[in-house]
Amino acid sequence: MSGGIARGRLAEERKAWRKNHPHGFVAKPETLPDGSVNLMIWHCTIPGKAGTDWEGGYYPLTIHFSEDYPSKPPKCKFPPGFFHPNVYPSGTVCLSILNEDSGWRPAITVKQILVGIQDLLDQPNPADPAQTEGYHMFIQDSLEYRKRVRLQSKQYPPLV
Amino acid sequence: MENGQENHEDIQIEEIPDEFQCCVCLELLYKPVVLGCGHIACFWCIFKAMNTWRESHCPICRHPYHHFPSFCRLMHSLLVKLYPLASARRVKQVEEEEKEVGYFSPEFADNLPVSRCKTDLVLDTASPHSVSSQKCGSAGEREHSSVDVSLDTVVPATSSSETNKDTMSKNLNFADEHASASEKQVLMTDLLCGICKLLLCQPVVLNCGHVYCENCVINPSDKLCRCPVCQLEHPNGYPNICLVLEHYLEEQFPELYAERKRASVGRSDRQIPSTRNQDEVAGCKPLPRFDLSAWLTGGGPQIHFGVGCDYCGMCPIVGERYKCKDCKEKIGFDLCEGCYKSSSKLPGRFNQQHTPEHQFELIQPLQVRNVVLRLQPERLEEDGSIDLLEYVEDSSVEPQHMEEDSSETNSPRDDLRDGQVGNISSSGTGGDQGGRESADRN
Repeated sequence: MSGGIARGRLAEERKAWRKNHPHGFVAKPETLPDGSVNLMIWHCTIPGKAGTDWEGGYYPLTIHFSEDYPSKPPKCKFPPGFFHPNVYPSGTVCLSILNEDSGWRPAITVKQILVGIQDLLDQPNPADPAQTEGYHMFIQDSLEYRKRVRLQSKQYPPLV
Repeated sequence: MENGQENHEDIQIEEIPDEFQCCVCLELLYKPVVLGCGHIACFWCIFKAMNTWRESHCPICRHPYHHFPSFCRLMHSLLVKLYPLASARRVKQVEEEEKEVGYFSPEFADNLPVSRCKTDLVLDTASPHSVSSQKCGSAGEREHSSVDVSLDTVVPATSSSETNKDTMSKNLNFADEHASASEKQVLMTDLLCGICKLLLCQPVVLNCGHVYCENCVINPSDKLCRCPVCQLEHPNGYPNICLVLEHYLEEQFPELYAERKRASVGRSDRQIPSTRNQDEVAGCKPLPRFDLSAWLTGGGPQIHFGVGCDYCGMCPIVGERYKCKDCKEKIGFDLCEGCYKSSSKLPGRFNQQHTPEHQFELIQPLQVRNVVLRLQPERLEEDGSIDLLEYVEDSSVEPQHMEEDSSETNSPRDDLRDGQVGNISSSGTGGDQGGRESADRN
């Protein structure tokens, strides 16, 4: 059966999000210039967790869903060059729950993805580096690393 | 693209609690199937999420499974009763989708042929009158008052030759009108175990879709679990308790359920030493493991990619595959060796009009040496194995990435590809805009 359920599911996700979502987070399907909504791309914002070096930053994340969603995980991207050991230079997030072969389950919702990525920000996984700069700094010079993270948080101020 | 009409059509629909939402489509469960791990999703959602190349994983817990379960009629009729409006909408929605793709989900009235019914064990406890007449009704009568809709008492069951859709919509309308009058009262008789005839206690749903108390149907000395109604063996160890259903029972019949549970505690300690430790206890057939390298070298068992057995639901079929020569439905009709050789006469999983008179042929699986031939599109279409192309390509690159295959990685290849294509420069600002708009609204 080829008829995908991606759009239906995403419409439901959107509904659930509007009803209730974690404080400080934003998740919204892309709006095209003609006013129509593209459910396959969502623009989101993840707030840095309070009490961490990421606090104060509101990090923009774009989620790309495929027609195979939710059988296949979506791809999540920060802006290119985003500083984090587990983010590829292109901005793609490397996280087990977003990997079809290890942790993805169709029951995972957008909300869980965003919260999962928020957790990843302050708890990088050195076993799975995705960029050289962030990884090496994290391993070798934690003071410098934290400085860099705090600097980055200032680059993504709140949107209000 | 959607024109922002997300919410328009479902204003009239009941609020569906989370536990009755399908974890895949996030809508009301429709023709729910319950996996061995006890988790539930819609018939089509599970079907589409199944991996037709190797074992599949539960969309909720990733528990591996290899058999597509039949849908659970007890749960289905319960949901239709509780949420008639949402169900009616789902029926319409799914019917349209089915018409479009040409595959059909099972209708319930003819899902359980009379010949298969054992008088004492039919799970027909739905309609009140059948409870009183449990011991005297003939199998034939039973069939018609089966679990599906307890509304049978009012709407006479039609013979299965009539279109089932009519029956269903009639029932739905009925439920609709009377929903408020009866306050959607679900009767205990809708939720009885087919074996002990009491309220289900720690319900387990077998691969065939029938529901029993865990204690009634699991007998550790048997080492496997066989459905008393359809005689199908439950694959892959013992099923887990369906917690959603149990929770509902607990809520709906608090005292009675507590009592049932107390009564069964002693027994369960004795009877089922370690359901958790299924694999050892249930010394039944292990999941056939799919081994790509064995397949590539031509060794290992025969695997029929993309094809499932219409009786037991094994998908892909491992071992011999028998294909019906006479079934005209687009989805075809196939049996695995075990089911072909059994005397079962069940209907197909997709509402095929298969009859025992139909002829079968033995089909050879796709071998790696044939793959090159298969690259011709016509040949591919013939077998419905289009994915193979993609898969073979993938597998040829796979070894390079083995090292990076530890717990947390998106394919680095994807990333590379992104880099080449260049990133969507507007993504950052787009996010900002999205944020502002959303903030305004909230």
